[in-house]
Amino acid sequence: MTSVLDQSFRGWWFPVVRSQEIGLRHIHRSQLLNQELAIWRDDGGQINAWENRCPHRGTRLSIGLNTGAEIKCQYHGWRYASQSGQCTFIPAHPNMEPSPRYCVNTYECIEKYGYVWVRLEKDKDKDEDIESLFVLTEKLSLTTLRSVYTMASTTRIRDWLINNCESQLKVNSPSLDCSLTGIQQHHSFCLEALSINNQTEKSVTMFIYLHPLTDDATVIHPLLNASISPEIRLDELRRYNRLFGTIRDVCETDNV
Amino acid sequence: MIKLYDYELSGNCYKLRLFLNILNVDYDRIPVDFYPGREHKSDWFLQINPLGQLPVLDHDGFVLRDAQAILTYLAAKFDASHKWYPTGDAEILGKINMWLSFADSITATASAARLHDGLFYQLDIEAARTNAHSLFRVLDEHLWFAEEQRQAWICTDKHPTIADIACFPYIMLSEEGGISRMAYPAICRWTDRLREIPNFIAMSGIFESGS
Repeated sequence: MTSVLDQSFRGWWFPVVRSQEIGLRHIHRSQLLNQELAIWRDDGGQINAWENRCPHRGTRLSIGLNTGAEIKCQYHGWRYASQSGQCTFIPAHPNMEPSPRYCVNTYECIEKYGYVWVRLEKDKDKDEDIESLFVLTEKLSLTTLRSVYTMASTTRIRDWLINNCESQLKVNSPSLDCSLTGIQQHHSFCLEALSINNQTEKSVTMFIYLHPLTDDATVIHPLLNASISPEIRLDELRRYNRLFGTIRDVCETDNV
Repeated sequence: MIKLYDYELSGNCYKLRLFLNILNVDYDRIPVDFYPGREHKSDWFLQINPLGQLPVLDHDGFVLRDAQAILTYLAAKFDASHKWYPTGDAEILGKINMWLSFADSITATASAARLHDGLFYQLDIEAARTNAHSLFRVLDEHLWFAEEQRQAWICTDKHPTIADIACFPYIMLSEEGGISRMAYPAICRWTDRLREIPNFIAMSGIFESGS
């Protein structure tokens, strides 16, 4: 079994959080392939994906302050500039220009299809087909659903979905009024499936992105290839949340 | 005058200091040496609260124990806006009390884990952490759907209630009990909002801002 911590995946793009969840002055704490991340937006709207570690004493930057242009570390107040991650100010030495050595490790990130995407390393061989990793082509009408955090490995969730959704997803839950079918695997971390509303029998395609936090924990980012009209939006979001919550529970319970 | 029997590191005491500060109500702190002195189990304190628990509030001789109960008293007594505990609104009142009880469950799990890790309490630490995660999962989902409906707080759209104050401290202190909040981004956004409330004060382990 391949570990998700396999170095080769560090050159891949992963969705890590819905764009709209990164509001102004917030710092979102996440993880990707075991690397802790601090994801934040400056007041100009630029997104940052940083190693969640102050280069000074190793404090998590996510407990710090997003000033709108910089992150200020909670511990000694060192400040780091948006985009570059360069230290701009050290309160204990107010007249000193901070050395270029004091720079946060930053990662490439972009916003696309409603998510913030991050990759931990540049992959020279793959650089040209980055777009293909996103799977999606243009002209789609997309709805990001609630991302579901699971205490199960990416392999476990992927295999379970593939084994159970080829024909029809069977989950023992009377309240679950939707099912998944026709699952296809685009790549190790992206599946596509047909989602069927059991009441209306309407079906739409959806992408299921698997975001490995660690070897044992995964976020499922379900992306609906359709728009949802406002009047049924909340019910639909709840319905899909129940579906992926059920999948989470099953994968966690039978975790091997 | 209000007297608060208080322990600096207690999240349940802190939620009262926080709320009293938000309401701008003056009070005297009576420090009780919870650890290592175990003064909350001493004879003199058991006279005040036979359960031997902090906090206790004494308002001109009216003595009340239980952090959640004290929050309801303070809101009903001192909040002229009636927004923190809208006694005239049956539905919101019911919801608030539901989440006050939820806050007690957080104390029984996340706070217990912190007592285990920080103050060497003997208890089933794995069960405490697992059960805290189950509660956090429920609250994160609740808050995510609240945001979808432009509802910023646990029970209400625009103005927070004592349910938010009650749930806040032991969630913020959870990492001291080995309970990560990484899997609960909606909770983290809500704690950001809470720290923007005018007159917010911090305590050891809870910063003015940041997640």
